[in-house]
Amino acid sequence: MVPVAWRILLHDKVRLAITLAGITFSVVLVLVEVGIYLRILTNSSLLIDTSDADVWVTARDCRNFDFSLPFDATKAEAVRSCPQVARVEKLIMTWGLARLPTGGSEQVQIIGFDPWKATGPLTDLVSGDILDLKTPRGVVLDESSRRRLGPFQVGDYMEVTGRRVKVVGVSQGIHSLTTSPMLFASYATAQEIPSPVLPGQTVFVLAWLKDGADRAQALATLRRIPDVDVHTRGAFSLKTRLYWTFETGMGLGFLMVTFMGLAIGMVMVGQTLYASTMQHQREFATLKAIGAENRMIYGILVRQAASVALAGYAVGLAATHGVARLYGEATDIWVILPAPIQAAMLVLTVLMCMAASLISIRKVMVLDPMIVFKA
Amino acid sequence: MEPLVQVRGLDKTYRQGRVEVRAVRGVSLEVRPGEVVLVMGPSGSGKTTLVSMIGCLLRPTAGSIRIGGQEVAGLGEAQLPAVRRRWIGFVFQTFNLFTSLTARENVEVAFNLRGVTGPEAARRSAEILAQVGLAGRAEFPSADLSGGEKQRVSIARALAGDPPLLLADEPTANLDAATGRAVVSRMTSLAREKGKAVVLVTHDPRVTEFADRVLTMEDGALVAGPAREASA
Ligand SMILES: Nc1ncnc2c1ncn2[C@@H]1O[C@H](COP(=O)(O)OP(=O)(O)O)[C@@H](O)[C@H]1O
Ligand SMILES: [Mg+2]
Repeated sequence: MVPVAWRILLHDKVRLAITLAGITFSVVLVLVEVGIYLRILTNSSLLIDTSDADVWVTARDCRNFDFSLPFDATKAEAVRSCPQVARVEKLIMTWGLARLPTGGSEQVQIIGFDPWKATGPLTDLVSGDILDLKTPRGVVLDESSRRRLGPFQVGDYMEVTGRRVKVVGVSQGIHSLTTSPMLFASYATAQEIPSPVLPGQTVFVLAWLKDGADRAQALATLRRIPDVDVHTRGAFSLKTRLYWTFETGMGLGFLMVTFMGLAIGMVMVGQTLYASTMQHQREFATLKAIGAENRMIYGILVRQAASVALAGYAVGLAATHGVARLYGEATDIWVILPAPIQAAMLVLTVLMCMAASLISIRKVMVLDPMIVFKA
Repeated sequence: MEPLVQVRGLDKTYRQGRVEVRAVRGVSLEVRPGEVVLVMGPSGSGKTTLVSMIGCLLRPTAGSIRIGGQEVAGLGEAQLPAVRRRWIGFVFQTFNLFTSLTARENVEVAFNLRGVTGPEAARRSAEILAQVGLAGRAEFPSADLSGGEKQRVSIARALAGDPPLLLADEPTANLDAATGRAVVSRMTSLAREKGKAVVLVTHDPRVTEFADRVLTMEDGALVAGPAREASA
């Protein structure tokens, strides 16, 4: 078969370029937007997800990981006394101000817990040893924080909210939702740094259940402890993600940009395909006159839409990777593009271009083949 | 020989709001295989309307059209494309080539429509282009061809799939006199060679010599005209 659809597309290269640019723009906008959103969500619950605790005990009505009220640390004993619980850790999540060598300051997110083994995101430190957090005023910083805090390495001292701390380890790949540097310390060190967490308080209690323990029963027992909420790890992670998605308007913002990206793409593609159809309408009428069935002519338009969708998507995906790298380098927010999202975007792109071709299809549907006789 | 085309009492009234234009009135004619019939007449006399109806592109208001013995005037929209593919090849005043295709591909599309595809379609397209004297132009972009060459491509396209009837509406109007004559000469001689009937609408008195019969239209009706003896 003569590839009429492609020939018409390739005939006007400028128009084709505009069409592809429109799709590429759409794909990049949507994928980068969704990728940033996914990264922010991942970051928002990173420490929950990478902890291996079965249960997170929080203050009543705690809404997310980052801003949670401290409560009486003796609740940890109540948790420990639950027969299904094997082990309990207190975890402080609070905020401090780091003094920079330049004289300025940066807000840091302080995570205080007693490390009993290298775990979660702290499994492979770039340098130092996680267990050194047990030394007085020892802290671990993430290498990504150098962007904010300036250069540091194991052995350096630093001032956080008026307390001198010593860097005993450097982690990698730990980003906070707020992009503030994360500072890991022992529970005791975190208590010593002035913050809203008063002596004798904790922010979370993490519990590990005994092997083979009945989870439902354990949760029911724990939920009898007054003035705290009890979440499984998954539930607390989801709660945190939903908080950032809905309570802050972030989700709606991302959704709107995504929708606009698709809408702009559709308008551009629709416009160029329609202009092309109008320009070639005499040819479509000729096809009708010489005996083409309508569905063959629609087939040409659908094939055009599908072709530009696939080509635009391919260019867009490649461009997305480039943009994502630049964006990551500039902001340290590294876009996440899971395969299902890429696949969904491909489907969306094809649907968008198909929808865009509908006005062209309508045009040729009502096209009068008699125009072939017009001079 | 059985007539290929039999038109009886054909009428066409265009309606535009309250205005009615009776473009064709009571036309009857017959065209036999291998016969070249010229339809002449002043502008607006209904020539294009007549060939459009014979070509199954326009529905008559009244009357009957039989092509190859089949009544087509009453056929539904869905059946007409197949009738056009089976029986009719069109040649237009403005050529109506597919501008983004080569000369050969323009012909090939007509084969594709008839289910002939791939190398077979390419080979047969090249063959017909050679018959219209365009062997050396087959791979040219159709947009780069001269007017006469374009019209010869369109004749080749009309011949693809071997339809028994060629309908040509003012095929020389966009060509200079010599080129127009040459094109009609080639079309009519090829048609005779292949036993095809031709209905050729034209203004151009210089091409009457290629016709077996000349019909004249005036105000939508056929009038007695300068007829030539059939050569067949
Ligand atoms: N679509 C149409 N609507 C209304 N009137 C038309 C239409 N097409 C043609 N006519 C009229 O019908 C008459 C015959 O037109 P046409 O068949 O094109 O004549 P010719 O081809 O001989 O010049 C003219 O008066 C023309 O204005
Ligand atoms: Mg006319």
